[in-house]
Amino acid sequence: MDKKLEFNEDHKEVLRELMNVAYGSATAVIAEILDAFATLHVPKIELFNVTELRNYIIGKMEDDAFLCSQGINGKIAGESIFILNRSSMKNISKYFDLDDSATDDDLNDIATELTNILSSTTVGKLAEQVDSMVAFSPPSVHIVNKVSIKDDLKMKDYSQAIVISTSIEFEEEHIYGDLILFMQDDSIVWIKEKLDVIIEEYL
Amino acid sequence: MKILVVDDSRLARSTIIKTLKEEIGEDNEVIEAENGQIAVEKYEKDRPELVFLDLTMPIMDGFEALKQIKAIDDKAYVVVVSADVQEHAVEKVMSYGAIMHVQKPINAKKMQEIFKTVKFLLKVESK
Repeated sequence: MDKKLEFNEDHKEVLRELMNVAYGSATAVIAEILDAFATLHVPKIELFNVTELRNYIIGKMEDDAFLCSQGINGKIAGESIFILNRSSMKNISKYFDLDDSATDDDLNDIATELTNILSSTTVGKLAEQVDSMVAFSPPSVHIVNKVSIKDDLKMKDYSQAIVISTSIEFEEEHIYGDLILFMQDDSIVWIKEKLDVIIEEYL
Repeated sequence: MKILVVDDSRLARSTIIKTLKEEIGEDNEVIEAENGQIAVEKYEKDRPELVFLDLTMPIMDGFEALKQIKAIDDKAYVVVVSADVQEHAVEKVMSYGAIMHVQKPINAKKMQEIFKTVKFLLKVESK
């Protein structure tokens, strides 16, 4: 990989804390919507290339999953992907008074709304912390499985992905989700410069 | 003043310490801890006058650390500095005896507010 696009351990450490703050804000908004208390866990931040990411996702997938994507424009340009297994999606739907008869359309609607809130709040808060702003395109959702993910997850425009892996426990309901952030190469170079400034000042 | 700064992130601890120095002064003694368990041990040993405490940490989270610190000293001044800004989380830490809940990241204005509150509480306590 091009050296310019590589994150060192200090970059990862700073990014982890920035994402932790950003993800905390997003979870609070979702908890308010669901009227439930979420237990936050320390998120894992990992950087993957395309092949590693596919293998990682397939390894975590159950039978099928809801893949929700949203475009990001600004200095941080790219795409955010939120992946929720069907069992987690079913658990979320209970907060919307839907029972086991909820259709895929019902679940798609909920996934769209949650993705919009989660990814825009997380990425928006990340941008704010590095003195920037971003705009978002409307999210889209489709159901994927371990076979179709190879075609459904389009990563040809990106060298690597930042994966924020966390479980959110909403009281008794366990909901696991991975938020994946794809940044265009120019944005990676830009955010690395911003991280270097923070490292220089604080670490 | 002896101050304990508790966070698993080096960046978060460093941000608090730097802001503390810039806004409040250099003459504080700062102790650091990277999780709740170490924080409780250091609190017991060093008895700091003020604690900055994160919530989401490995090994022992801030909720449990706050409970244990307050069990050691019910007059402990603990300021929770966290990304967890859910209403329920704020209510929980206040019910456990934190003096404030502040959203991360900390900045000059927030630090000034914290010390205004601490000074007020110390004044009330001394009367």
